[in-house]
Amino acid sequence: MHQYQNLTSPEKVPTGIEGFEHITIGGLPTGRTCLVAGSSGSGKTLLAMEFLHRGYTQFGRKGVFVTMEERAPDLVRNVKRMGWDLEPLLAKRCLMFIDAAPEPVPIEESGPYDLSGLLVQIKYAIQAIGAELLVLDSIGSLFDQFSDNATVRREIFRITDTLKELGVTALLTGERQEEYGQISRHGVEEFVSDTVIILRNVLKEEKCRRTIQVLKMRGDAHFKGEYPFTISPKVGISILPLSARELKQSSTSVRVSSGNAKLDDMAGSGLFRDSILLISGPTGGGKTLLATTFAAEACRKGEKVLLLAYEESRAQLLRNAQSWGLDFQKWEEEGLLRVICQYPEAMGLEDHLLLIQREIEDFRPQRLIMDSISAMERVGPVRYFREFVIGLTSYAKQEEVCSLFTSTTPKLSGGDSITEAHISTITDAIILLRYVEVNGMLRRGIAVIKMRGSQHDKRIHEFTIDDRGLHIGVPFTNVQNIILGVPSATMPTESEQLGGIFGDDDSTGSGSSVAL
Amino acid sequence: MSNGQTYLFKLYIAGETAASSMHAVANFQRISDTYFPDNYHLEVIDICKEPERAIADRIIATPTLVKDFPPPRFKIVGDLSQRFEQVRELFGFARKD
Repeated sequence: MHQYQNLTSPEKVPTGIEGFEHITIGGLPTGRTCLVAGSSGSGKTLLAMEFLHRGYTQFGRKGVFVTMEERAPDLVRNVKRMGWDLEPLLAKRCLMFIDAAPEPVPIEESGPYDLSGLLVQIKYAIQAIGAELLVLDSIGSLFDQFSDNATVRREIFRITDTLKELGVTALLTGERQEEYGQISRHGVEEFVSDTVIILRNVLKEEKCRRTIQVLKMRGDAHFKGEYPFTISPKVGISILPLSARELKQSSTSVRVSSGNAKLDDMAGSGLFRDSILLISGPTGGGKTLLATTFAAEACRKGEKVLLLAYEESRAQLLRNAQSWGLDFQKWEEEGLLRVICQYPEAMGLEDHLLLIQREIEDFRPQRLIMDSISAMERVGPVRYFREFVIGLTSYAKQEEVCSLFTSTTPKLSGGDSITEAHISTITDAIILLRYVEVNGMLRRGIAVIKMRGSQHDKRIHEFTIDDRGLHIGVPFTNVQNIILGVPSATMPTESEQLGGIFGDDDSTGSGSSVAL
Repeated sequence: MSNGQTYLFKLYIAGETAASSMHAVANFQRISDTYFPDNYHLEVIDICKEPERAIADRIIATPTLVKDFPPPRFKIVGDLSQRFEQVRELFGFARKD
C-alpha cells in the first residue's frame, strides 16, 4: 500500500486569467490535462492563447501551442488585436507553434497509419524549449483530418498519456455542437481529461452572454455553476465570480453623511461607510436630487465620487446640479468627481459590471452613485440582473465604497419594482420616496424602511423640494397605507381635535403634525 | 509519362524498424517498380531521428509519402498498401506494360 502514501492532491498552475483561479481554486492541476469545450465562437482558442501568454509573461512558464484549425500566422495576427504581441515570445523561444492545421495540398490515405508524426513534433517542441504548458487546439479536428476514427481515438489516448509522462500541464480544446448537451462532439476528449471546463455563448433576450463552468476537476475541489465572463482587448478574459464571492467584507461602524442632516437623523445619525443605500421612488420623486446631494457632500469633504448616470446626459446632469447651486464641473476639474453617462443598452450587464469595476479600480472613489440601477433591468433577464447587482454590491463593499443606488418605481405611488424585489435583501439601507395624495393634494413622503445594524426612524415624514434642495419636515400622522400608495384618513385623536378647535390654524407650524 | 524529369519523393517514417515503416518502404518500391522504375529519387526520413523535419514538413501521421516534384505537391498517408488504383490516379501514372 505504501506506494499510495506519498500521493498528495495535485498542485495547481495559476493561469493569470482574471477570476479563473477563483472558480478553479488555484488554477489548473499541474501536469494534468484539461479540456475546454465550447461551441464555435465561445472563446476556446482565446482562453488557450491567454493561458500560454500569461503563463510566460506572468509566471515565466514556456509553452507549446499545437494548432489544428487555424494557421499559426493567423493566430498571431488575431491575438495582436487583443493587444498581445507573441512575436518576441516566439523569437526568444518561450513559445512555440506546431502547425497541424489542414494543408491546402491533397492528402490521400492508403493503408494503416498512426499519428506518431504529431507525437514526435510535440515531444520535440516541449524538450527543445523546456515547455511546461501545452495547448492542443482543437484535438477533435484530428477526426476531420483523418478518416480512420478508431486510429484517431487510440492516438488521442497515446498523445495525452505522453503529455502526462512529460509532466506538462495541457489544455485541450474541443468543439461542442450545442450549448447544453453532449460535452464534446466526438465523446473522447472528456475521457482523456482530468478537468473539464465548458464555455458557453448563449443568446437570450437578444443579448449574448458568455459563461464558463468547471464541470469536473478530478480529485480536487472547484466552484460549480456557470460564471459570466467578458472578453476585452488588453485584458482578455475576465470571469466574474459573482456568487463565489464570500461575504467577508469587514463591517465598519464609521458613518458618513448623506448630505441631508434630517435624513441622517432618520437613519440614526448617518450612513455606514461601507454600506449600500437604495433610494426607491417614482419618477420625479427626488431620487436624483438626493443622489446629487450625496455627491456634493462627499466632494465638499474632499472625498472622491464616481457618478454613473444611465438616464440623463452629462449636460443635463451638470445643469440640474447647477440649479441646486452645486458646481459639478469644478469638482470634476479638481478630480473629486467622475461622471460617466451611458445608455444601459450600450452593452451587456457583464460588460457594465466590468466597466464599473475598472473605474473603481482606477479612480478609487469613496462613494459611488448609480442613477438609476433600475434602468439596468431592461438590459437582460432578471436572473442576470440579480447577478449583476450582487457582483456590483459585493465589489463595492469589498472596496469600501459607500454606494447609493436609485430605483424608479413603475407607479407614481407605492408599488415595487423588479429592482427592489431582487436587490432589497442585498442593500443595507432602503429609503422610500412616495407621492401621497392627501385631500386632493399631491404631497411627498420619505421613509427609512431598512437600516442594517442601526436604529432608524420608523415614521413617514413629509418632504418638500425647492430650489435649495430637499427639506424633510414632520411625520405624517393620521394617514395610513402611504407606502402602499392608497393613503386613507384615520380619526384624529381627541387632543388634536381640541387643538383644532381652539388653536392656531397654522398647521404647518413647527412641532405640529401633518393631519388630514 | 516518363518525360525525362526526375520525380522527388520523401517518405516520412517513425522508426526504421517499425513494421509500418518497413511496409511503407516495400510498398513504395513495388509502386515505383511498376510505374517509374528509372526516374525517381526517394528520401526516407526517420522523424524519431530528425523531428525538426517533421515540424518543417508538417507531418502528423506516419508513414507519409510526400511528392515534392513535379507539381502538384501531394501527401499520401498510410503504408501505401490499399486503394492502389486511387494512388495510381493521384500519382498521375498510366499503367506501364
